[in-house]
Amino acid sequence: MNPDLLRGNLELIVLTILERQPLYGFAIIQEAKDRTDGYFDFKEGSLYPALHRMEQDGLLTAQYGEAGRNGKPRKYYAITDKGRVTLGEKRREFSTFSGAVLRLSGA
Amino acid sequence: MHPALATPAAQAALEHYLHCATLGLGPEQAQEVRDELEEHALGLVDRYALLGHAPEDALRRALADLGSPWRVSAAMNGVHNMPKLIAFGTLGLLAVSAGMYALAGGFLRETVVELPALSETPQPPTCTRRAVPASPLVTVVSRREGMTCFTFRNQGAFIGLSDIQRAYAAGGFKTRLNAEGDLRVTFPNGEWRALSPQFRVNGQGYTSANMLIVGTERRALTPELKVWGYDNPLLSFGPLKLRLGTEKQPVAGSNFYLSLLGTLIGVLTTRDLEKGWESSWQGVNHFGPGAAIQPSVTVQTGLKAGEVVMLVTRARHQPPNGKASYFADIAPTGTDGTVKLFTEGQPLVFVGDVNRLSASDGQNRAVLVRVTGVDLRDLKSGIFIPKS
Repeated sequence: MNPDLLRGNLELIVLTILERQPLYGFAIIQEAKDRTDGYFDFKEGSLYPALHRMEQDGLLTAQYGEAGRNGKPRKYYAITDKGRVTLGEKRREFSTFSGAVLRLSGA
Repeated sequence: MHPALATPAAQAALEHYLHCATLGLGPEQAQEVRDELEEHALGLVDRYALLGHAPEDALRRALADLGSPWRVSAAMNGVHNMPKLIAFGTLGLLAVSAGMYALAGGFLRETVVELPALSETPQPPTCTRRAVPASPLVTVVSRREGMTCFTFRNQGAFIGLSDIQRAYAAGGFKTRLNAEGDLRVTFPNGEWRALSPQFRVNGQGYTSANMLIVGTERRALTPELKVWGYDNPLLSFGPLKLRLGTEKQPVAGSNFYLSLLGTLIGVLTTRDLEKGWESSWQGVNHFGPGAAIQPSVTVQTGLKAGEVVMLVTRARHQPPNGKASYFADIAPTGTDGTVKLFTEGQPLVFVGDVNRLSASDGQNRAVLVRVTGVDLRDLKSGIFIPKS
């Protein structure tokens, strides 16, 4: 898919994935790929600055879980109440936008 | 140890990636990001191993999947370092002028203070019985009974907080180093800025040299804010001038200016600095020394040798935070006035206004900015169109 489109909606994608359950970075990517049959394909390192920014903005909260492959505790991200509100707003924005694009094309 | 990291070469490759991806971050944040990226990389390695790839090939593919470590580092610095500006305390709201500094008494006497620098952060050694990878980033610290211990270099430009305190005091500023090691500097208008140690060596706290600019560029706390030179740059606050680096403990221009890029873009693209950044940045366009050659452009600037020039292009996507997003690179001009800068889009069309960087006609528009000798609070004054 167009990477610009993906990056522009990364927050919406991450919040949607974490809406179900807290996950760590690698698992977030796997979930995104699994649930879209591999549609979301991007440089995976770019997920972490987004996660840290969302944590800083209060959309996500983090806590450490079991040890990962490197022996260090995995950092799990969970959506906050503020994150759920933002997710709702972003869904409405996206829906309005995609609806307008569809109307433009006469669909 | 993970099977994919059984060889020193594999360890070095991963370590190099993690080092680059966390450059510029404080030790605590760097460790946190390292752990996350390492776990992610090993997860990818396992996935490729399951598909039948050999360990070294699996690691190579995993690091490729993660993408440029410089981009990760740039974006992480955007998250963790730029917001520090907002956290600085404010005691007064008075505008500052040179006249007020004169009233402060004695401050207008020109003072130049040399600040020795560290070029890398202390790193715990890694020990192995195998061959140590040959890399400029690797330093062997001991060899004993078949065991070799080595460290990976985490490069930057770091100044001791007690040296910074000495410099500010020489310029007439009030300073206080508290028990936690934070240095608080009070400016003549009553506002203060705090610098926190990113790491310590022999009890001395150190901070990245770029923080001297980061703390003072959004409000006119000093009569002047300019920088000259590439290596061991001279930072001018007006009568007080700081030479960052000494002959024995120098500052490499590449380390200093790359760490400053986010701040420079923030200043360049923001209408009202006191209200906060209007943009974010994506980072430098090159992968780093020794890496695969990336597209670059050589520009005849018409400037004298040693001037520092920044190239800025606008990213085509808008990041989730809704701010405009930019790519940048920065380098010094050579003796012939040319400068080589990394960029993704070519050919470039140079424009004289950052607001014209967005193009719907498919052109790769770019802005060139002279960074040295211009007011760092008004970087737009440094924009120029190159001769060729």
